[in-house]
Amino acid sequence: MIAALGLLIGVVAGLVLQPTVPGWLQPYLPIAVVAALDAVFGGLRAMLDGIFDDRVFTVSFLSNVVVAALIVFLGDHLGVGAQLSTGVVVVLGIRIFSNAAAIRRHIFKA
Amino acid sequence: MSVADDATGGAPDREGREYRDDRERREADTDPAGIPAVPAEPADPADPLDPPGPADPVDPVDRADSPRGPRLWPPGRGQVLVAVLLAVLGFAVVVQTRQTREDGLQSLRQSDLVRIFDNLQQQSTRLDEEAQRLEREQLELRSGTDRTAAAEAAARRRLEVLGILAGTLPATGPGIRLRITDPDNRVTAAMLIDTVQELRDAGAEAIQVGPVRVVANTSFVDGPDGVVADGTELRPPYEFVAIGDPATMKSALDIPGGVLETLRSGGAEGVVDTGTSLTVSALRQVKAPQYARPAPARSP
Repeated sequence: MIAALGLLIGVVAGLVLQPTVPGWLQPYLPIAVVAALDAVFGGLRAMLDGIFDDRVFTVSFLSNVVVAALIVFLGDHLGVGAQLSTGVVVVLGIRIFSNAAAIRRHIFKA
Repeated sequence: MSVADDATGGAPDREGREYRDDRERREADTDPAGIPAVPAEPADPADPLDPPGPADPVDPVDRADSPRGPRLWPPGRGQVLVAVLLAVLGFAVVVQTRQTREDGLQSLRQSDLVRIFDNLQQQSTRLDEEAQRLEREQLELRSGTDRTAAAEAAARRRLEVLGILAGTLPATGPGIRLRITDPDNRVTAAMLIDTVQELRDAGAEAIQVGPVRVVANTSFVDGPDGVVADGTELRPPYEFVAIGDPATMKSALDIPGGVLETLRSGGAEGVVDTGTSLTVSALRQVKAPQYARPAPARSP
């Protein structure tokens, strides 16, 4: 409930403030967003499973973001940034899909 | 990608199982119906900092409604943290979306930039080549136009020359005016032909007698009251206009035994005036040849 409210507030703030992403953050923000989305879907699934926990969610959210950004950072410095970003996005996308499938089974029983 | 697996939030793997265990532990404290006893609440390991508040009395009802869902109200510190994180996520999504829509090259990686640069260079080379080709084409067309214009000018000059020769164009230039007075009407067609021939010999390029343009096939015939030239009756005085070198023509007419002397001996009088800008204005209609056709041109 309050989580949805927080999401809404964040979206509205982004729309209202219209900030520009600083240059050093630009390569990492998209990956971080995808990683955070993965965490959110995982949390949603856990909530439907009845095993949701704030602490786990928070830790996983932050660690997801940090690790994803770290991978991209490392990849950029190794010269395989683009490929590694693609890999991260693919893996996170697969996880998001599997989590979404679980959520779907919970909601629609199908 | 085991790192990402470890970073999962509420994923079905290890952490989930841990929590299931935890859950089972917690549910062991509840009665078989799944309704936890109120005293179990402070022992909730998930919200160790959740202070027991005034909302606690309704807690069992909440749990009864959704026996497996988390308690939603009042928000504990953890839930507030979740909300903050989601707010950050929403913010980031919007910002990133806007950024992606706005900038083209700024957020691209070095390799992408190199690729784009390469493409641009190839495109530039292609366009350069095309520009050169088009310039060559333009040059060719221009020279072709020049050739066409030159040919057209030559044709026009030729048309003018032929028009003057055939008598279809008026001519102007230096020349002489010859006035033959003939009070006794004794000038014959032969004398006029002699005059014309003399003028031609002297280089006359366009000749007119009275209103008649004298060309190659002009005829002079003796008429009842004068001379008929090309079907037009001329009466004395006969007025010649000839374009050519005035001095040559004047002397040609003046020579002993020439035209003027012949006229004088016949009782007529010829007077020659030279002029620098005379006009032969009489025109002659040219019929298109009915039978004759241009013969195929032989290559020179």
